[in-house]
Amino acid sequence: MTPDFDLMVIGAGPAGCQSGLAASRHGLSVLLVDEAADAGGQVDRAPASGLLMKLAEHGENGHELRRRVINSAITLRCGCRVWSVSDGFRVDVAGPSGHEAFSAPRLSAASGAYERVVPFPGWTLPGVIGLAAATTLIKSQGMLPGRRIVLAGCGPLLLLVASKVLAVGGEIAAIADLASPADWLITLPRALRRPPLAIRGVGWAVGIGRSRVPIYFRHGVRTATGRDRIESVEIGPLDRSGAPAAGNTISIEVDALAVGHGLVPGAEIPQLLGAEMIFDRLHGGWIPQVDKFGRTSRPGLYAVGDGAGIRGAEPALLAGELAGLAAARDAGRISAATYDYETKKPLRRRRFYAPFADAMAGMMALRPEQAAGIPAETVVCRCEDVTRESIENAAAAGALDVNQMKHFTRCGMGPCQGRMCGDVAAELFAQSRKVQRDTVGYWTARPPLRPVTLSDLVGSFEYDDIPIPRPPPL
Amino acid sequence: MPCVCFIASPGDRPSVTGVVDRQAAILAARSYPAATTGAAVRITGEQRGARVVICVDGRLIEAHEGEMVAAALMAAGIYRLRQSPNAGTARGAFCLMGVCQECVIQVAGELRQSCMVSVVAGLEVETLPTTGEA
Repeated sequence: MTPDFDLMVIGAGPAGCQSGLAASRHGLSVLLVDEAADAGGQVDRAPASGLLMKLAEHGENGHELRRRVINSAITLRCGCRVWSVSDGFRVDVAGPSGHEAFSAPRLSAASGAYERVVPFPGWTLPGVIGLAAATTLIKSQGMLPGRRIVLAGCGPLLLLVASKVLAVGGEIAAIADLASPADWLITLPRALRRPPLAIRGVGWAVGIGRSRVPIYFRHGVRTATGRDRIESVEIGPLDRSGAPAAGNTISIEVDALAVGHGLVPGAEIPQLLGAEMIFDRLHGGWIPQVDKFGRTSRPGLYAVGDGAGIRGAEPALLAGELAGLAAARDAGRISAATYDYETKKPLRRRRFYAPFADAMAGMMALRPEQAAGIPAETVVCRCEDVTRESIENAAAAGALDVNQMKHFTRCGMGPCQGRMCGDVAAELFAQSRKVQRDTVGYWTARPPLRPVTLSDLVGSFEYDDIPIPRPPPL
Repeated sequence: MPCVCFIASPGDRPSVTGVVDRQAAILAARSYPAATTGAAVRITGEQRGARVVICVDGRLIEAHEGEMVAAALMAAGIYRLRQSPNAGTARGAFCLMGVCQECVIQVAGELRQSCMVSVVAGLEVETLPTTGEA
């Protein structure tokens, strides 16, 4: 069977779009698949149809990226969930027109990241959402998550959400930041290597300072309480490592809490295809081992963007460009000289961005003490209501790696497929076994990569169209 | 329960008064109580999709065409969407990017992540029923 494309790209965020664009520019036929309704990924997410955002700086990058993809020769398939990826490579998607399968000798995994939320009692209450969810609401829906909001967690997303909420006149009851002002300040020299971002960051900080919103540095959420939804949040002091510390707690009435503790790479596709994986705490957790152009240990498989380690949007664009060029080179479409020439600049720019990207990743990386501070009866796995205690009991009962722990407890067995709890659950499990984090491994990735309904796979058909062979004569 | 729904004019200010009056009358009679606290807030001044009515658990709420269903529900003050299967605790939309599966409800008769479906006029949505304790 001849392959349908030269390169398939899964995920149409900055990394995926750019890897498709670079490969397409050199004559490769490219399929770009994304489950969202539009290209752009989470960072450059398109506003909901009909919503014309007036907010400054909104979505300009996204518009530009979408325009370039649409004007290219790339075949873009949005609203399509990739539920299986297999050797060779074959990609199975469930989309608006039912089930479809595509093939190509090369595959670029650009499936991005999802948010880590370190559990606390009450984090499952309706009205508690991720910081990334809050940015989605604001950027793509033109909505604030509530009338009176508490923001908590760590990293640049906290600053971003706070400044966006204030920019549109929302009420923030308090901000609880795991970091101290000193933690932010030490990133400044590296941030200054990227003046536009540094200026924007300082602008956000000044805006938040002016707003007189109470900011509690080195604080985190202790509990969220409410009957059927969040009604109040208790925040309390943390120590340097992010563990709860002694001191007064503050109780605040709210109707929404946005909380997030960094990002976790979504690396299921390289995992599923058996690529070599490494544990890299700074860059979010388990990531595929890649060369500097994004080639994984599996020939023809590339991994780019936050799914290959949390580095942010601009390094993701560069990684995409490099992997697209590598695909063109591996397909024999460009000469070694062209390849060397075209990769030189993105490689240099990425080296230049690396210190800043790593400084931000450092603010978002999971500190072991954060997990250690979770109370025993707190639900860690939301889908199956598995508590920290049960995870520890599994370790005591002899489970050796996270997959055995999953079998013992059902942790990670629910519909989110372990994405929401996986990183923290593995951390807790490694701690209770008193071993290094990488020795407990990662969930085995299996299709379906995303939950799909049977009707999505079957699509619509007429019974009369089903070929039924004539029965043999008796 | 079947719903009769009317499409209002685009933008924030209704202009086709006849249709809108009927719609308002139905809303007054059958809608969720207007959310004054405890709801997501639509940022004013943004131009949105046409104002439409969708049906949630047999009651009507206003929403804008193209909005994600999960967001429209939050804006109507409907945060609780389902309960967890084991402990039976209340759950609502959490990640809003198609990962966590907490916002899965019945949309037009099928189980869907409400953060991955857009509002269209007359859409019928049902939150998942409470079963047993909790």
